[in-house]
Amino acid sequence: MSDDLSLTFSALADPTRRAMLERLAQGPATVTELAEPFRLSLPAISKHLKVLERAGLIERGREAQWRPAQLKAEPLKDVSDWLEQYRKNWEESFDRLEEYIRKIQKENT
Amino acid sequence: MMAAKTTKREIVVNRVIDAPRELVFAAFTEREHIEQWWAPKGSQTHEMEVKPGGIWRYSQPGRGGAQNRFKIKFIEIDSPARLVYDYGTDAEDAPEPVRTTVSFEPENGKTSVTLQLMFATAAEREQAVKYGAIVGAMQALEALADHLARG
Repeated sequence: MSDDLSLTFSALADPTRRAMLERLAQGPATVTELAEPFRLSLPAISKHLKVLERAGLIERGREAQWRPAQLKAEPLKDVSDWLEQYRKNWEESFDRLEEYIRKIQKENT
Repeated sequence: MMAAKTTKREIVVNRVIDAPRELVFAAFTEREHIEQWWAPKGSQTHEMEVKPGGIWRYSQPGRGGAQNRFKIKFIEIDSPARLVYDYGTDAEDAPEPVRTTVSFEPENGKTSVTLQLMFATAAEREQAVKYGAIVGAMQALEALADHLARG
């Protein structure tokens, strides 16, 4: 796993941040809008946003007052590719395991 | 709402193996077994100690004939139900390992094997106890990523 991927995973490790991303999937939102469902303070939400921004998962608008956050796809795509490869490797390992177990069970009967 | 959804989505790979649970668990934890199937042909074990905190180092052929080195650190060995290990590349500057939990459930004489991934966060790593289970969210977000990448 690359370091960028580790950064993305770290950012995604928190359930609040994941929920924020799911909210942003529906469209850009301001800090106030994002804070609403969580009963968290605005500074706490801002801190989460910074983590997501550092991981490249969101982009912040430039208007100083609102700075709406927007979801970015690329790191998610990397995660999804990595996960796909991981799954594929394991499907192959499971195939080998099945074959191996069949073999030793046959030898034991 | 999230929590309920996440539990199911954390599952990464599952396979029902036609063998009793004790045998399948042994296949995951005993060297003479595990070397026969875990990695593709041409792989080699450099050291292996199956106990909590024990290390398994191995290499397997990658593309172009180079050997890729991996390191597994066993965290929990709870025979025959559960196995927890950290999986990563074996290098000085290796990025964070991925914590994997393998559960073995009996199912009509067969064994259902399930892999779940957990990712340590850099900050939480210092406390060494907290891990976020995030694969579920990742899987949910995969569809989204594809959608956004296309758009």
